[in-house]
Amino acid sequence: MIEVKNLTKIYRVNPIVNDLSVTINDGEIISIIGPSGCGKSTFIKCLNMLEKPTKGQIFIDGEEITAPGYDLCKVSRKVGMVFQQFNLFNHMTAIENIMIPQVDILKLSRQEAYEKSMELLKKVHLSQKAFSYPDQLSGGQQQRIAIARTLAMDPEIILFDEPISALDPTMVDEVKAVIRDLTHSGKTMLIVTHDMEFARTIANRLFYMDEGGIYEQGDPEEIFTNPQKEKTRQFVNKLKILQFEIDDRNYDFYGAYSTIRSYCLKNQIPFTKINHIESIFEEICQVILMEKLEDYKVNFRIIYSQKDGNVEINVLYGNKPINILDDNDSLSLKIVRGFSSDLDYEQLNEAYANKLYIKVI
Amino acid sequence: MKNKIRKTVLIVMTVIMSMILFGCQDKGENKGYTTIEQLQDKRIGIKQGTIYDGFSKKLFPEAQYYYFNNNTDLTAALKGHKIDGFVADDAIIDDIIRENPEVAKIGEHVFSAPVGLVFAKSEKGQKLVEMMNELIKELKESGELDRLFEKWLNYDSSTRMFDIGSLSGENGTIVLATQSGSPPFNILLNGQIAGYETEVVALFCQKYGYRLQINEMYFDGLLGSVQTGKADIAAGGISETEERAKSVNFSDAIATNYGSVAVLKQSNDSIEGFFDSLMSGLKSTFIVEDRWKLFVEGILSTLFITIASIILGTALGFIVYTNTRNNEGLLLKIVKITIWIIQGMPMVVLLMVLYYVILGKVSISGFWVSIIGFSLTFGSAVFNMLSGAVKTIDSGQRDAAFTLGYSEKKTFYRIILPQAIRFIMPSYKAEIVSLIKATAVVGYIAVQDLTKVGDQIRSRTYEAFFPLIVVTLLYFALAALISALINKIDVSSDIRRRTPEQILKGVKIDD
Repeated sequence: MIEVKNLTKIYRVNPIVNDLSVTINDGEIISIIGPSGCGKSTFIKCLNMLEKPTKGQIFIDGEEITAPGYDLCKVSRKVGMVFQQFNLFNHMTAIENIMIPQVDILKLSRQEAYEKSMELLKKVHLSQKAFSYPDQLSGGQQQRIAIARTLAMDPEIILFDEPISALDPTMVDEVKAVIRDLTHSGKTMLIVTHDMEFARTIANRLFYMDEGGIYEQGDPEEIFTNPQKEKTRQFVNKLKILQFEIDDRNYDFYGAYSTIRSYCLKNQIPFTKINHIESIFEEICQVILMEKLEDYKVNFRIIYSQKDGNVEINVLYGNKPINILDDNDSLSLKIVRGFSSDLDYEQLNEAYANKLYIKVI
Repeated sequence: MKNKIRKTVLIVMTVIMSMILFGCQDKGENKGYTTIEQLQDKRIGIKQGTIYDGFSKKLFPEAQYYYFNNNTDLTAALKGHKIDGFVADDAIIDDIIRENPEVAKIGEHVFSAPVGLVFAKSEKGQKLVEMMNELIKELKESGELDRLFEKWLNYDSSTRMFDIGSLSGENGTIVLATQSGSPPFNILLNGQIAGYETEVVALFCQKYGYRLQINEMYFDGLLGSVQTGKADIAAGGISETEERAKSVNFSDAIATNYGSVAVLKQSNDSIEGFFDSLMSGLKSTFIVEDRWKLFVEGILSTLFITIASIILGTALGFIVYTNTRNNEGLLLKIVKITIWIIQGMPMVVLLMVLYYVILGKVSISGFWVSIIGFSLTFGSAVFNMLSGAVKTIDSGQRDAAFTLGYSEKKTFYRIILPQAIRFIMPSYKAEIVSLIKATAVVGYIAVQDLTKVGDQIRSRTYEAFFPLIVVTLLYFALAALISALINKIDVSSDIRRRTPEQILKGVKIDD
């Protein structure tokens, strides 16, 4: 069992992991997702003290590994790690990479170590490559040998730090298959990955990390289909957001158009949709709201989901409740309706008093 | 194989080039100066550290001056038309003319000064100089001194000196610093240092019961060696001047230096045929007086210094690196500054500082000082290679070792170092070859290495060409030998060439 209490890791002045607490039970398979730089790699590296936590405690099977003077070799005996860059020892052949640590660390005889290594090589289907050096192997083969090397040390916990991120797409599957096999071994596994499908299907618990901690966690299926929190939703739906704060009637609208266009092109939004977005922006911000609002103040948000290709527009406006959808004669409103499949109004009690939901077609 | 061919081609080319150069000797135009006045605005050679330095400038105030280390180089420069004349001892010029008929002496006795043996200005030196003066007085009264001088003025290879091996030495050892190329005072005869002054010092040792150890060095190091106590007596036909008498003690005069000017004769056509000159060059360089034995001695000492420095330097660099590799503090700074100083100094200067200053008061021969010096330099290079190579090893290797349970120390020796060594090997080999060449300067601190032996033989034959070519070829051979040795070690230790059987040593394979 791993217990993490108030873990904080600060690089220079930036807290990468901030006051994180969690308990992981034996045999759990946990996948960790989150945007780049959210601290997920740093978090698992703290679990085997490859990164020294700035504050907080980590207990493995009741022993505090963060205690000063704790023998870190004991941690390494229990916790194995698989790296993004494989990190096979370049001066050793595949078989030696697996064999030598057993001889050096576990004090096995060369014969015992050899037999175990060959068995593991067979398990990852690479016994033919026993005498190849790492630079003679493909990335996928190297990663499989790195996994075999980790397994040879009989760890109770295995940490995977983006094990498939550095691989050619053609080699991803062979490594995924090996990791998938491991899930039946009863070992505790933590897998940091950017591969959503992999994270969703392999784990029985999922951490979404953001804001320096575990932002949301739970059953992977549940989080992917029905995320409870805003940032999780954005992340699992791969939402790309563009936002304008407009509080002046003389706003640089031409500048805004060019920003919208480059945002859309960057996210490969189809041209018809781009035209619709621009028309909606023009009709709402430059026509309807100009006319209706006394105190011109608008927040215009375009939300594009990379996952399903939908574009949603949210418009927050005005400090007094006013529903612009009521005006059935407005030509501009007709145009907006024409370009959207769904259009809703909601009254708010915040800085903005009104909110429009528009689904762009 | 390719390498072998390349090496052969290189050596053959060197030989051909030398032949051409050899054949081209003596092709200059001889002006045939006969008076001092004709040389007024010409190019004058000066032997460094001698009184002829100041004197030449007085005699030829308009001339351009060129400095040389010894009489051989002066003669070679004169013959090669690099200079038009030089002032030297009468006796030396006579000696030069004996071997080089194209040289002439003009302005007989333009200079004279008393010659004495040199002692330190210390209590011990004072005592020794008084003892020496007593001996000189005795020898003068008995007429023995004149007889000795006469003997060495007309020496040939059959001339014999008092046998210094028979000295009893009950009162200790006297160290004599001398330069051999200055007849009749000190010369290299049948592979040993002999001559007028050497014999006087030998008689001194006999009279007072000392053993005699002779250290050969360059002229400009002679006075320094007695000042620092590296030698008890310095001899080299050293003229007594006021300036020198301020820093060292001179014995009573045992001879007078007469200076004359050496120039080239009017060109004569008696140039020998190529083959004849080649044979006579070979003979005078190797055969006469068994001079080849000197070459053997020189090769052995160069080889020993090089190999000892490689081994000690590698050990030193390695030990210092492994002990400071995790040190960020003061110790590392001290090491880095030391290395910076060692590597920033020209090798000659480093050796002289070690010999005369740092180990000045320690009784240690130049041979061991040069091993210390080169071990320090080589060790610094090894240190820098190691720290550079270790930095290039990807940090992922360390991370992987850590997560497998390797301790910091084990990670270094089992994972990092084997990878770093592969990386270092090419520059290590290059460093060794440059080390062999760098050892050529040890002659400055009285070591008989290959270069110094070449110098000594040149000081007898007054011929620059042959000994230099031989020395060049021998250095090539030594470099080839040592790199072949290192290559062999490299290949046999190359982990990439292991067979599966070697990789799985000690493992029984069932299937």
